[in-house]
Amino acid sequence: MSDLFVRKATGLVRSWSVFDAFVYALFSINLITLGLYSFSQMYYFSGGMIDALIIAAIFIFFEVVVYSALIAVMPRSGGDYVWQSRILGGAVGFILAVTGWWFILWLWVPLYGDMFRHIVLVPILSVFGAKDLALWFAGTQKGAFTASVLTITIVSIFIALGMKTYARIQKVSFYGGMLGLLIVIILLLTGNPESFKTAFDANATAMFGAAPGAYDATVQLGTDAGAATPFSGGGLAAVFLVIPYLVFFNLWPNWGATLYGEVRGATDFKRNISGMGWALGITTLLGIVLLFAIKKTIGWDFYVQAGGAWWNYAWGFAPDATPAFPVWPYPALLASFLTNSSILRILVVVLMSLWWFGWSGTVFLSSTRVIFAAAFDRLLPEKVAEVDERTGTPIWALLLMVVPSVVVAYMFNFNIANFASLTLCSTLVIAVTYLGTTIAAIILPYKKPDLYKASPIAKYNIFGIPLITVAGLIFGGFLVFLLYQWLIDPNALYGIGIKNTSSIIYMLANYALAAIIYFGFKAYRKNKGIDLDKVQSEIPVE
Amino acid sequence: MTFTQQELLAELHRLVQTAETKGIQLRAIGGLAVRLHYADDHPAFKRDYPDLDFVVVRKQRREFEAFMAEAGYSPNKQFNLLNGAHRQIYFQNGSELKVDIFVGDFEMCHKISLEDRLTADPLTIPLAELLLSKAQVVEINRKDLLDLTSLLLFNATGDDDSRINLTQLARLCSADWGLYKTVSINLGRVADLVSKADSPLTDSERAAILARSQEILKTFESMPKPLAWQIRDRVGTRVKWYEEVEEVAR
Repeated sequence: MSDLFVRKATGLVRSWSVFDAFVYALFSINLITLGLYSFSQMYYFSGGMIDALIIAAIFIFFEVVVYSALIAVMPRSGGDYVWQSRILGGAVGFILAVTGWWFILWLWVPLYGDMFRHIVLVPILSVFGAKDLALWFAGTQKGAFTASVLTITIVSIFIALGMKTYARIQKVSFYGGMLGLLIVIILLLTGNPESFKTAFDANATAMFGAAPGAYDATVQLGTDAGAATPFSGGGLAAVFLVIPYLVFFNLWPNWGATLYGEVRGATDFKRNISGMGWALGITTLLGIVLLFAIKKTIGWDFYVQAGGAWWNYAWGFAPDATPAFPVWPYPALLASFLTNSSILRILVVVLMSLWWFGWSGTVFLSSTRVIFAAAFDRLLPEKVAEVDERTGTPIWALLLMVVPSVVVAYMFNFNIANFASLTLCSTLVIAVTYLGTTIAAIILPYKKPDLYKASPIAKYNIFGIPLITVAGLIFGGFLVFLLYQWLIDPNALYGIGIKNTSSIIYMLANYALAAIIYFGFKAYRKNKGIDLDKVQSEIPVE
Repeated sequence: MTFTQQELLAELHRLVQTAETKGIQLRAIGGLAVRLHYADDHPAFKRDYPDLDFVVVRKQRREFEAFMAEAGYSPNKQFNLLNGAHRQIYFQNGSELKVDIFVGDFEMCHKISLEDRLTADPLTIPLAELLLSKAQVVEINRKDLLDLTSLLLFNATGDDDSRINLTQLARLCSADWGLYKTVSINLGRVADLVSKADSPLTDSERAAILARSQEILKTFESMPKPLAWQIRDRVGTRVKWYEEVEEVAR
């Protein structure tokens, strides 16, 4: 029978389709949560936002190539941890992976919480008339901390529901969120600056009790804060200085890398590229369209000034300059001011809140796979790779995420030890992890030639040099530039470098903790007769 | 350590019956389940059986996991952690016997819900679903095709679960155009196989297989077809109609 096939091993339909992975990648570089949040913080730059978006996307595409290639070679749960530990060695792999995929996510929790209050809680409460509660969440430290705790609760439930159910939540959020964004863009493209100014003043007073003239007061506060970032232009050097801040938003199309052991067809290099690459391309395009729509009706200068007015106060640079518009200037909420229909307003903020719900699981989901992979290598107690018998929840892995997150969220939200200044540390530590993976990718064809030659990426070369090496060199160079800007910070733009003691101590503490766990467990297992070097020299089973 | 067919069948019986005493619905699926529905040891269908395959109801997953430990099996922890809600793998302690578990649904190229169908037969999943589990394979191999052919030879078609239940086949295939399509393709492959000149089957055996295959295809023709099914039928095989099944080495 010529049309019969041969099967040798267990057949399995993996939990996620390529489309699920695409949606996860798209949400990981979430235009509405990460994007609008960081755009509003980037009010003091000289380089154009649009130019920075496009240039950053070009460099990040090489990240997509690097990760797609590594996934195709070793499609394993745990991603960076598995690749680095098998190519660079156990200590480097463990320390870089657990800091970048586990410890630093503790710091991401208050950031997700901050976006939860600004993008979900405040807009929804305000359109339903709960002004006081909306203002409590928007403007108090207790409100911010409560939002962080709610975030942890919601995300823990998502993790307990499992990959398949989370994929469904993502899909609903994707379609609903896209519909919401379409309405926002239409509202903005059909409005004009004059009607927006009138609507802004009226709604700031009616919804939040702001004093009359909130628009002009916001312009003044923003100008005083130094709001300057242009829509485009500003010279190449200035644009490049915008990018280290911008990548807080879009450095993560590969966020699902640790999950690819559960994605169908992960050995297909081109398919991996298309999943992450389309997410990057579509997000960049949507970003350009949304910013253009904002420019048309809200006005670019006002948008940047409103961000400056908010963050200059929120970061404590001007504690007396209380924002005239007393909530974060969320463009979707501002766009909803352009309609008098209550139903349409509710629809806009509810649909746009789905961008947060579809994305929120990313804070823990990818991390759990790294924790599992390390536990299977016996670098953590085996208990952390167990699930609760009744609920199916990886309860110990979750606790390792949740408990420190509550502590870090408390310190961040109440600004203990200057923690509120650490926002970009969340990006830096992960970039270091990515650099480790990128170096692993560059040397893969030479360090593990048999593995590389047997892989589907072996046929891709540029002038005789493996594509994975070329892409790795380009993306690695980009990461080195980012790390230099963040750590040395010659223009004092990012606030997390060597001049910020809290930042340096916090990051070093993460690496020290990882090293203690690694060498501690290595010694402990050696006493039990288990050689972890040997364990980590083998490619884990699928 | 390899196992004879008798040893595997004995272990299959032991697991199903011991699970039954604990109130756990466990039913065999796969090649050995098909073997249990043979009328005799026909030489045309001789094959090896590398492992045991079962289905357990989703709501008894936790009890089942505890049961397997008592029954002398260890889980593939990593696989079960990541896939345990729908698939699980166990190994018999002290041997290399592998047991593959489907939780609630059989999910390969097509999904066949079994959650409410495990009481129809005391040992295996119902014949209709057993036939579909073999006929739903897009990249069908020789073993699957022989299993499918043997089911048609040894089991009559009818309207209840003691036979290959045509009503149930129609119900599942009218709800899923993709399943209908793959099953139809594979019934065609069965016809090709048994019609070959070198086929070891007798004329009467061949006639029985072809007649039952035709009955199933006629059932598909006459079954009610919802609008969504009809629209999908118009699109046809230009759009992929099945899920990709990957080979996962362990």
